[in-house]
Amino acid sequence: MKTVREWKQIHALILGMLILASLLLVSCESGPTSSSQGSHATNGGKGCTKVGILLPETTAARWETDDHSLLVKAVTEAIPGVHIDYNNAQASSETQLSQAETDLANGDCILVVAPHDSVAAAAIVAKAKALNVPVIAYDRLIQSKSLNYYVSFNNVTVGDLQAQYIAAHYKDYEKNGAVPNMVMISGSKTDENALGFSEGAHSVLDPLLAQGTLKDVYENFTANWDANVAQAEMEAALTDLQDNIQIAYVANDDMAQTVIVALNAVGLSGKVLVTGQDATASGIRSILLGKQSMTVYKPIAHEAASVGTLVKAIYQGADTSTLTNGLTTTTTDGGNIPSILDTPLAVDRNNITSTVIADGFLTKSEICNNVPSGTDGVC
Amino acid sequence: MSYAIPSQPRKSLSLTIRLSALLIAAVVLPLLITIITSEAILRPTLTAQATAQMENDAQSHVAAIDSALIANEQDLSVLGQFYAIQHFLLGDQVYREQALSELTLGYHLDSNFSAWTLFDKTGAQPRLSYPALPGRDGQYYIPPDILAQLQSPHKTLISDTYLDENTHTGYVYIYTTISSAQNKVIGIARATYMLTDIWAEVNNETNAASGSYAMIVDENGVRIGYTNKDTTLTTLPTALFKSIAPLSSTFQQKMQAENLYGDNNSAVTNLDDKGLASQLQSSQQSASFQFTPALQGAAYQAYIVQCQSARWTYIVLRPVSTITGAANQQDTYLLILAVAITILAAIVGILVGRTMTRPILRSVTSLTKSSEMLKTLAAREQARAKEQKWIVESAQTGLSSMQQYAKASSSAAHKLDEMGREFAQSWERYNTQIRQRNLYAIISAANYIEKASLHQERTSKGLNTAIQVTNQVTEQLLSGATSASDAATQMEEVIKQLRRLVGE
Repeated sequence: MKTVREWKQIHALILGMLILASLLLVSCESGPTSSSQGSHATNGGKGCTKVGILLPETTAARWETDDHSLLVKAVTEAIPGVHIDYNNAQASSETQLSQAETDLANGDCILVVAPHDSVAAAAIVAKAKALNVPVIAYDRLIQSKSLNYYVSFNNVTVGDLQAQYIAAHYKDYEKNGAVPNMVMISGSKTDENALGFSEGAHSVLDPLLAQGTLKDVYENFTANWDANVAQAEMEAALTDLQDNIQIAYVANDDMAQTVIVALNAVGLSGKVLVTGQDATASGIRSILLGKQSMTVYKPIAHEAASVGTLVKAIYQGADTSTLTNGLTTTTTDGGNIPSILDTPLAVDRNNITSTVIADGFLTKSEICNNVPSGTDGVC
Repeated sequence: MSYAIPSQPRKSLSLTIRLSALLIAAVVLPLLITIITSEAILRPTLTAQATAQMENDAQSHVAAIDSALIANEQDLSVLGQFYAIQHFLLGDQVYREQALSELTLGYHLDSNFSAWTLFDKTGAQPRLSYPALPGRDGQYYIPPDILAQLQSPHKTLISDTYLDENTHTGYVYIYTTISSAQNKVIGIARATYMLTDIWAEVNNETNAASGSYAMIVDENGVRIGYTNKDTTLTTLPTALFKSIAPLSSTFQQKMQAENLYGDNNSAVTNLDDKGLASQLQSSQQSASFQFTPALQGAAYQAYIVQCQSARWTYIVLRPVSTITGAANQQDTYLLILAVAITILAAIVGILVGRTMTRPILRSVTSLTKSSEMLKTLAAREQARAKEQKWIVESAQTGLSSMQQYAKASSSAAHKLDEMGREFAQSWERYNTQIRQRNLYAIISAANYIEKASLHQERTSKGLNTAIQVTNQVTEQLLSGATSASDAATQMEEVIKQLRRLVGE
């Protein structure tokens, strides 16, 4: 027979178990209330051995075929035993931001970013800055005064080279003394580079246009550098002008190939001056076949090597001003970004061998497919 | 056998009630703890989640606004540097058409542009514009304070907000300086940017959550964007172009001079939002807080984010009740559940308690009867024993008296005998014959008394023995009765404890 004291002890035990069970129940129900997110502060990249490389898209072939491997090589050579997180945003600013956040959370302490959107990528710079992680804008400027470095080509020079070729050859396309009609299919308006190309082109072409020796019949910026959109633009221009087009300023090779398709459809392939950029294999092949007139070769290996040099200096904590030589690029928010701007080269059928092949940028096997043997002494 | 008997028996709850109470506690305590936890953990967590959602929401809207404005600033600043535009502004009229063509190109870059215009660096008159030359806003084409800022190369800025009375749409001007090759300012390019898409960002806030809305407040404290509940967008929101705090007289003069936020017929009035105004005075890039906004009768959770491209603050507001609605709903459900389970547990407890106590109560009843019978029996035995004892005691008293009497008789007889013997010794004085006869008679009688006394004494001895035996039996009976009484008392105590246990 239990005493009153024993009954009280049993009551207390039951009550305790109930409370314990309740707390367990509640703790199970509540689940995790917070998640730890990696956060860290770096020493401005000094001693950094984790580098994030973020490229914008796969629409243009160069990013995966050239930039990817060249950047990895340059960074690997710059930092012994470096760990590289590589990402491609697949033409999505949100994806690129998310990739950058992941890289930062994983402890990447230097970011090399070729932005999909020059403006949207400012968020990446802001997040990196909060962690004292330096950001190098690669090939495309990021519109943020907090950006640390910008490595690219002189974009105005690129457009200038394209336009100089047109200025040098447009008269060859005059028909019966009529002023040649020119279509200008530029790159994405959200890409500051595309605006620079256009500015460079206009710096050369505007005097001709103003004097009336060349006529700009169509000009537009092409969203996302989309080659299919470029083809549609060319088709629309051909329809509007009843195929009376002699010059096609096209901002890059990928878009130039689809413009050539549109021209081919109306029998104008090889009869219209078509420009391009990037010296892609298909672009060089089109030049050899006479369908494209020129391209701009931006030695991506040089550009990637410039990134490697800069990354190495950051890693070592060395002075980077000797690399940028005081050159800056202005952002819309008033920033002056230390820049390394490499020089591009114009390439036509006359200097393919001495440029892209000589640099090893392209091989003959890459460009001579379906090109008649002996063409221009290249194939 | 020992018993822990409380000195003062206290009234306790019945086993049934205690079982019910325990069952209720078993099921309700976790629920109560859950509710308390809900208040302590879940509610703040929900608020934090909502704040995070609002933060993402606000950040994404601000990012979209910044992207649009910065991209357009970028377009304007780059196209403004086009060769033809530069040379037109330098006075070469040959470039006029090409410059106009480039303005047209810029105009078509964004559907929100309503005009692209070139000014010389004095800003006095528009030099070239597409699609049409603009009019003045109030007294100026370009207000003096903005013009003063546009005297250095590579300068881009966004104006305060104006209202197009015809389209009922706000607009801003994006300005950029145009520089020569020598990096000297030669003119100003201006894009008129309608706020259609930016207002759409604000209007879309209603999709985020029930009761959610948003606003944009400019650096002057005027609401330049406000969620429009008129889905036809034919009317403007009540709070649009109303200030969150009283405006200074200086700024009111500026508004009038520049025709900001609409013409003088729709001048900005004050619609106080003190909570918001105090938050905006802090220089935080972003913040979350609660307040009761103007035109609203309930508390709202707010999240503010500063735009990078313009001195605007984007504010997302969501009713606190919708944020904590899930917690409130859960609490309600838990309370209903607790009440239902309490009732159920009470019923089950009563049923189980009754099932458990019924046999105990039966035993108790049986024990009670037995105890009462035992007590009755013990009382009777005790009474009989007492009566018997009383008789024995009376007999003992009588016997004692008889013994005393016998002793006295014996003593008298003995005395008589002595006297007779003395008389016999005085024999000469009496007739012999008489003397002898009397003397013998006395002697004989005395002998008889003596013999009777002896006999009485023997009898009293026997009686004494019998009384002693009876007394011993009585003592045993009394002792047995006492034991029965004690047993009954103890049984009664057990019953009391059982009663206390079952609570009857």
